[in-house]
Order: sequence, then C-alpha cells, then structure tokens
Amino acid sequence: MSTQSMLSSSRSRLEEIARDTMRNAVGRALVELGEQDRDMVVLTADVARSTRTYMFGERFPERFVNVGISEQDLVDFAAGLALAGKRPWAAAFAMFMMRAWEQIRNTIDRMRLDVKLLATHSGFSDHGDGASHQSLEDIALMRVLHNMVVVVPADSLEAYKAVYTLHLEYRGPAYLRIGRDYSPRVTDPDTPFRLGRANILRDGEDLVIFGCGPLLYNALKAAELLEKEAGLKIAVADVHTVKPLDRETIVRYASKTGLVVTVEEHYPRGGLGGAIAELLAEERPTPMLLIGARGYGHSARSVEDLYERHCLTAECIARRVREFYGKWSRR
Amino acid sequence: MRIEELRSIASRVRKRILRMAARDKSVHAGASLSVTDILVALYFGIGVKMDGKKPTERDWVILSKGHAVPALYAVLAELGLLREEELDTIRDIDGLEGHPDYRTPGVDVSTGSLGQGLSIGAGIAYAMRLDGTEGRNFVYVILGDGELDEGQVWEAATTATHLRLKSLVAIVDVNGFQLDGPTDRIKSKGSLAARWSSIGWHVIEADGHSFRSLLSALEEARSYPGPAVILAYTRRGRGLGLLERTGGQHVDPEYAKQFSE
Ligand SMILES: Cc1ncc(C[n+]2csc(CCOP(=O)(O)OP(=O)(O)O)c2C)c(N)n1
Repeated sequence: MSTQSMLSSSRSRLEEIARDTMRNAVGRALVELGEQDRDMVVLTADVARSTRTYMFGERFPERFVNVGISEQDLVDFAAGLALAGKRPWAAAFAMFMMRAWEQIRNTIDRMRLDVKLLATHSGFSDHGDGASHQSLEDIALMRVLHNMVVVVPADSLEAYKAVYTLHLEYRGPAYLRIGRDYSPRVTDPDTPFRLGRANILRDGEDLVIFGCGPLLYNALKAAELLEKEAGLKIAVADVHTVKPLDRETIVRYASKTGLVVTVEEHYPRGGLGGAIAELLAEERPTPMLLIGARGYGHSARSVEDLYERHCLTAECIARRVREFYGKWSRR
Repeated sequence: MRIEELRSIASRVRKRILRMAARDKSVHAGASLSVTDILVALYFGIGVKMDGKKPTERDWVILSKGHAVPALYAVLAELGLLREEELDTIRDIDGLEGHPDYRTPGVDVSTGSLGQGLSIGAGIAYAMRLDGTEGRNFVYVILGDGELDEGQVWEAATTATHLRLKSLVAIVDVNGFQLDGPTDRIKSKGSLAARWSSIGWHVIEADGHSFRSLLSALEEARSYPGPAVILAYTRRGRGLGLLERTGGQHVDPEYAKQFSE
C-alpha cells in the first residue's frame, strides 16, 4: 500500500490527529508502522514518556530499547541496528541529540545508514524548561551533513505524515524535528506530503514567505494582515523539507515575487533562512529578510509568550515584512 | 589451526604492517603491531563468519581503535580479500583509507573516531537477539586502553550489561600507551578489571601475545551467557624492537623497510 493511500484511508482518524499534540501524533504513527514492519525498532534515552515513544514500547516491548541518559550511545546503538538490517528510530530532545552530533556525522551519515532521528521539544516548544532545553541550532547542525535529510513539519498532521513517509518511502539517514505540544493547524488531511516538495499554503505575487514548523501559522496570519492593511498579495510556502530543498519552487517564487522572507523557530543563521539564502545567491539573487530567534530562549508560560519576546507573533512578523517591503519594493 | 601456523600467519601480518609503515610515516605501526595477535587469533584461530543470508546470520568485527587498520588490512590480505600490492596504496588518494571504511571489502564498520564501536556492536548484538541468532553469531569489538577514556564506552558498557547481550565480545588491547604517552601518565585508568566487572561484565584477562591464552579467552567469552570483555595485555609495537622499547606509534619508513621483506 502506498503512503498516500494508507494516509487517506480514514479521514476521521486524520482529523483526530490534527487536533492532537505534535508528539502524540508522532507516537501514534510509530505504533501504527510498528504493526506492519517487524524490523522497526524504537529507541530512546530516558525520555520515553516525553517523546511519546513509550507508546511503541508498550505495544512492542522487545523492539523498544531505553538506553538511559546516554545520547551518544543511543545514536550509535541505532547505527548498529541499521547495519544489522533493522529500521531504527532513535528519539531524544533535539537539544540533547545534538550532543551526539559527531556520532551522527561519523557513523550514521558517513555510512548513510537507515537511521531516523526523532528530535522532539525543538525550538521554543519546551517553553517551561527554558534555554537549556530550547534548541535553536539543530537545523544548522543537521543540514550541513552530506547525506542527512532534514524535515521540519508545520503541525501535528504533517508530523504524522512525515513519519509515515520517512519510514515507507525513504531509506537513509533523516532528522525529523518536531515540537512538543504546540501545533496550531496549518494543513489538512488532503494536503500532500512529499519529501523535498514545498507546499504553497497561500498564493501571492508581491512577496513570498518561506517557513517551516509551527511558526507557519503566524506567517499565514501575517500575510492576511498585510493583505487587509496594505493590499499586499503574499505567498506563504511550507518548506517542510529543509534538506534537500525544493529548489524549483523556491527559485520560481523568488523570481515571481522578487522579495523573499524566511520564518523559523531557529536562528536564521544556518537554518532554513541560511539554506534559502545559499540557494538564491547562486540561482536568483533576491533581497531577503531572515526572521527567527534573536538569542537564547528562557522559561515562559507559553510558546506564544516566547514568540512575543522574539518578535515572532503575526503582528510583529507583519510589521517587519512591511518595513522590508517598503525598503525594497520597486512598485 | 595449530599454534605454529597462527604464529607464522602473525609473522606475515607483521611484515605487511611494516610494508605499509614503509609507505607512509603517519601509519600507526605501534597500535597495529600490538593488536596483531588478537586479530590473528580471532580470524584464524576462532574463525569469523563474514557472510550470511541476513546481516544477523554472520559475525561482525568492529575495530573501534580504527587507527590500527593496517593490522586489519594485513589480515584481510592473508584471507585473500585484499591483494598484497593494494597494501601499498594505504593513504593514497585512490587507495586504502587511513581508517576503516565500510566500502573496503572485509571491513564491516567505518570507524576512526574513538569510543563509538561498543555502542554500534551492542546495536548489532541486539538485532541478533531479535532475529534469534544471539549466542550463535558474535560481534567482536576491539578497543584500545586509552580509548576507555571516552565516556561513551561506559554508556555502551552499561547498556550491554543491562540488556545482557550474549553476542557481544569486547577485546581491549591493553598496551599501556595512548597518543601522548603511557596511559597512566595521561589519565589513570584505575583497575580495568574492577571497572568492567562492577557493572556486570564477565572479565577475562589474557596474554595478548600468546595464542593459547587468547584462544581460551575467546572461547570463554563466546560461551559466557552475557557480555564478556577480554583484557588482552600486549606491547605497543610488538615485534619491532625500537617501538617495543619506546611504546612509540610511528616509525621512519626507511627503518620499517628493512623488516618488511
Ligand atoms: C575521538 C577521538 N579522539 C582522538 C583521536 C586521536 N587518537 C588517535 S589514536 C589515539 C590514542 C589511542 O590510544 P589507545 O586507545 O590506547 O590505542 P593504541 O594506539 O594504544 O592502540 C588518539 C587519541 C581519535 N582518533 N578519536
């Protein structure tokens, strides 16, 4: 069965997933895939509850390993399973998986092993725990790796589809970056998910916003505000696959609009913004505004509070986009 | 195979190592010569099943102290997997890699960054459990004593005992030296036997240059129903007087040339 037909088999289930948290959506997808694939193994490092991989562990205890608080061991244990023909998913907080960057680089990526790295609690999603837990550098660290595929889903539904797609349609190293719970809805059950293919969420010709992750919700809101306030027609694209980039769509929209903004829950340096800037510098030099975190995070009662502090609310994004438009627009 | 035959294989392996050391002065000759008898005992005394229908129906050898790869190449040449002339290409732009690379025939896992092999081995051993070959096929992980400074080794060591991985055999080449000098001068190792056994490993101590001792240690490790570690006491540069006396790692290619014939 193809991923697409499997995913569209039950609309009510997908509607339910869309309302669930990001980590629950992923935890459920792992269990469902585990039912069909006896070679699937899920690993974690003392964060089974937090990453929701415990769901897989309860259903398939023999195919679940908790290595304790040992992220370097986690990554290389997964590498061993992949060498021996298994299809492992290794889960940890994005921040702490980065401790094993060199293991990921030297063992998984260099041998192009079929290991899926499930990095949760990324960006500001772990708002309460503060800066030590909020990873704002991981996209940069992962996308620099030669073979790594990097996926940053916008919402729970997209995260769910990403798990299916990465498991069923791709063999090789991948980094799936998800949040914790915060997941305002951006996509629909029918929205296609194809690796390396950006989705146009909203069309427009005055400017394009390329984004990834839950901030796309605010990007869409900002685009609506600007249409209302200034009559601007802004396209918004969900670039869920940060590597490999959808070069064709990005270059096409840069040419069509002539102005590019990027939005992400990460430093723009080295993140999606950096990736698109690299591409456009070679293919279609275009004025760009790179929006992202402005420094380390800190504890807050909600993700929204952190967005406010880092000027990532819809209003703040709209204001910055408007200034940028005023500076560069030839109209 | 008779001990006599193992000895003559080991002597050919050492000559090949020096042949490689004569080609390139950055080759880690000392570490390769200390691990030679361990590899010969393993590949020719015990036997390594290098192929299987499934990757869990064969044995695996992980040279976690990857800088000793000349010893592995020399063994692979003895097995006919590498041609003798290929050994001269070590570290050439199109030749054999300076550290193990999985694309080289007979090399199971890419290494070179110390401290990772035991985790990888534990993952493979766990896959053997899932496929029902645990205790029938084995994963041998060869580490250096300096490498034990890496924290990850101990992460893996506790994972292995927690899971009681029967197919995992660790072999530590205890030659008493690491890159910057004698191991205990760089960082005290405490009692190696006590460290491993305190977390549940079955510890076997062996003379790493005696085939009788190595073979019995390997047999014991394979039959033990849990993870076993062999502490093989060796000498850096074994067989080459100059290195044995100094514990050195590298030799002058001109010097090595005299012994490689
Ligand atoms: C992670 C890592 N750090 C540093 C090095 C550089 N290095 C290469 S060999 C070596 C010493 C290894 O000592 P030991 O494990 O005792 O092996 P021996 O050479 O004595 O066989 C070091 C530090 C490395 N290869 N990997």
